[in-house]
Amino acid sequence: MDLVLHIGVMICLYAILATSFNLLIGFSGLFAFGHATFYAVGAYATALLTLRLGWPFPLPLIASIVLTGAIGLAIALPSLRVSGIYLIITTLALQVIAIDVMLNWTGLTGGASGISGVPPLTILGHAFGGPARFLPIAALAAALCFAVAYHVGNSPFGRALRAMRENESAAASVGKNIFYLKVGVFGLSAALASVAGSLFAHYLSYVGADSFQVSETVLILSMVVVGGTGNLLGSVLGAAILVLLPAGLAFIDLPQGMAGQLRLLIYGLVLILFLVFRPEGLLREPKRGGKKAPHRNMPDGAPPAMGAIVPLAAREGSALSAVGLNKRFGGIVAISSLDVDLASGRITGLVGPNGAGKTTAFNLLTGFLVADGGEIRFRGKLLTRLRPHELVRAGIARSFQDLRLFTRMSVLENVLVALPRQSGDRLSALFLRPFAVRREDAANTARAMAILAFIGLGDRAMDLAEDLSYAEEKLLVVARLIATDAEVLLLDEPLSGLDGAAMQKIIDLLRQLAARNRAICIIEHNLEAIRNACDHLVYLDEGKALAEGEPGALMRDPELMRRYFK
Amino acid sequence: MTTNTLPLQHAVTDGAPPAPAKAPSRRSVASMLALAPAMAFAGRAYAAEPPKDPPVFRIGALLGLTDKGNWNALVMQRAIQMAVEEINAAGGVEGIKVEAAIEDHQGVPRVGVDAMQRLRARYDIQAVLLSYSAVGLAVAPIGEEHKIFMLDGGSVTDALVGPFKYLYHNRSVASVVARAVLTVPKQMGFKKMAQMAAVTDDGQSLIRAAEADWKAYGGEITATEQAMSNASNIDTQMAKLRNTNADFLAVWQFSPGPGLVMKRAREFGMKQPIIGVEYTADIGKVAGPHSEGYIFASDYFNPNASDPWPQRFAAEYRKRFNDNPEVYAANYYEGIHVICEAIKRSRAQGGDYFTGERIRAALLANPKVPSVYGGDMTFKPDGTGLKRVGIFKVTNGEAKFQNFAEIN
Repeated sequence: MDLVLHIGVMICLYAILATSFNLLIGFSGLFAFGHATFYAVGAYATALLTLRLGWPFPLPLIASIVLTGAIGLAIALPSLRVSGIYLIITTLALQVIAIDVMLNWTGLTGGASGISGVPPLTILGHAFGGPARFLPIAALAAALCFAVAYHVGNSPFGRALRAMRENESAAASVGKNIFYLKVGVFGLSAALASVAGSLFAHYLSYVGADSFQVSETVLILSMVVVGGTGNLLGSVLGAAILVLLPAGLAFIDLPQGMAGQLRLLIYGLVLILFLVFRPEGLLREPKRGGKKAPHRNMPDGAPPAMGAIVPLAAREGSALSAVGLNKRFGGIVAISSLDVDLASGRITGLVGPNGAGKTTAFNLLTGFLVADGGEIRFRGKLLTRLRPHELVRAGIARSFQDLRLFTRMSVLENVLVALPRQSGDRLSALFLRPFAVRREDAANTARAMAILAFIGLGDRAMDLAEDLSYAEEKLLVVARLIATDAEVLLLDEPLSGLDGAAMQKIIDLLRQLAARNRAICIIEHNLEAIRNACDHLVYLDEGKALAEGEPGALMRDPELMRRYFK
Repeated sequence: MTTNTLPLQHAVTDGAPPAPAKAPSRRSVASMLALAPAMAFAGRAYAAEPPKDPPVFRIGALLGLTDKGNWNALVMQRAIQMAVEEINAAGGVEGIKVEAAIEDHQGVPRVGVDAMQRLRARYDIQAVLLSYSAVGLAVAPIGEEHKIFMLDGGSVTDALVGPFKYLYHNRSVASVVARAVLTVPKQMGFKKMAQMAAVTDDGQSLIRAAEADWKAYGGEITATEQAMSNASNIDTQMAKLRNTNADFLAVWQFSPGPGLVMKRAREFGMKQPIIGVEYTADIGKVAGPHSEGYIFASDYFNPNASDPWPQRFAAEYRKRFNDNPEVYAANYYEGIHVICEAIKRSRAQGGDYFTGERIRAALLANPKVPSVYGGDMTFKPDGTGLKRVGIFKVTNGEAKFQNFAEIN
């Protein structure tokens, strides 16, 4: 019976580790390879505080969570600068360093001998030693950690994490603070993993570096992958399978002398089969956001009076102005002394041949590139050094030529994530004001549905963005921009690749937005579309504004046309 | 290349009959006397009941069969199987067959706990052979809680000595072997020691024991470097050790680590004597000719000894595996025999005798058991086995017995 209970304990501990790791990998797309480090810190902190300082429960657990959370924040820093394979290597190196510290800081960690004799977890004088007494504690901790992870994963913060996973720059372009998201999720994931570490120390009564090697991170990663990334229940399932599988294999009698190796071989084969036949994991990432949508069946084309577009007061003068912008890439001058004025209620076209510097100009205006010289003002306020998400919050939003939709999120969530001032984007609000966040999110969902209905995608709200047609994707880009409530909207080739009807639909939408006092700026190559859509043109070539004015007049200029078609 | 070697004052010829086992110390005798009433009571308590025989005596073993350095686990496994087969061929223990239930701990404490729980669940195991100290530290509390007799013939860490009363050791622990091998440089009048240790708790235990002993002697430790036993590049450590100009280099590592240390030390131009605590075929293979003159202390197992049991064991082992037995093979082979001997004694007391508690009580009542090393081995009250520790010197790739270490 103890074996069954012991397996139950191990499933609980690994469920905590896998769900917390899933927040990093599945939700955030941060392939950090050091989860066992957080597990270890929780275990060592608990062992030391219990044995050396005699702290009673729950103080060692709380201290472990705080300490590991803080270390998680520190380890997040590399992820701000590197991603993908580089993040894997960086965090792998951090784990190797952590193991070296465990092995060599003998005075603190006991070195290779580790720390033995950690007493069982004791609550109100009752000791929870042995599998039978420990299992309820482990199960309760696993349930609480799962609840925390679920609460975060299904919150606006979790939605922002998934948006970041899909495309970091796109998430920044809808106002998400990438720094906060990464640091927050690292801290939270680390803190949750430390709970497993703390329990592990009490349960095994021994903490040593051998328990927290890189192979342990690989095991936890396997649990996440087998269960399904982005699905927290999948992580629990993955943990259960990968704890039960070797336990079950151990009951198969194999020839002694090679039994261990054969069992490992079978274990590896089963994992390979999982990946071959179910590469996305046993449980798919759930579609989110639909249950709370009160206007899910809202008819398309509903009037904006339903709240789709926040009306702005008409204001005189430039909404966004750039003066003397310069940008060089090594010896290449991409932008030179560029002046741009974007006025409310007007659609400005930025035209020019390929390589003229149009997209670079967008990147400078939206903070994705820092100008070497010049200044950018929004309603007279200097914005030159603001980061992209700060510019969105100030009122300047953009789209990308390659769309950068959050393809594995629902259409509704693509819009929902872009809505401004969501208190649920902050972890503190999620835990301190959960009901207010929930109410606000319900209201935001209604607003997102209204935007989708207005744009003509109401009936596709719960579909994944990757399932949309190209024209629908273009519409969704506009919907996402509308959701930001920004006054200045910059669209990079919103009409390219569309047929006449779809193109006209988007032009109509842009006109409606301009009519509601948005300052619109588009980059476009289709001259007919430009003529139809734009009120004002800026002709750009070799990084300089060569001319600007009424579209018809510029298009009649033979020199500009010659340069355009050369 | 020439190397300096230590003259050994008490060298004896290879194959000479080993000296009689060292008498127990005064403290050991006092401890045994203190325990005598309890032992006598334990004996009487079961005498009236007839023995309750199980259908089979199942003995567990936790080995790192799929650990990175699994060479010694594989040696342990075949030695265990050989012992079981021999005992059963001779009619078992009091007519009851013996079985070994071997589980893989992969060198990971958590997996070791899984395996220990599995042994309990499947076989209600009452006696188990342990290996690998980190795993031992994780599983020993389970054995302790459930009164399972545990015998460790692999690790030398001192961390396992003391806290667990059901845990016994039939390999000399760090405090014994380190002091044993340090008798050699002391005889030479050396003062400056450089150390290279494994990044394991065994390695740390050896450092602790060696430093305490060497400082008490008045010696100086010029440098201490560490590396994994299976490290492939130790050049940085060797460069540092060389630059300290120590009188000799102590290697507190286990197979295959010392092989690379010897090789690189000589290739770095170090001509000082090298001492250690293990020499195996793997070490010899890695070190090649650089092992010449290497001096090490180890539980004295002499396959060419004149005692019939070591001779018989060595011959059978060579016949079965085409290999010479060494300390791991001898200890785990011996481990099975120690447990079976304890079972036999426990059975003589009658009652429900096949329990970890009764097996331990049998050894407490009479801590002297036959040893495959020749003669008897005596368990001290802290669970460590008193064995003769030999000093060996490698000549032409072969470890040649020199003398028994004289340590207090």
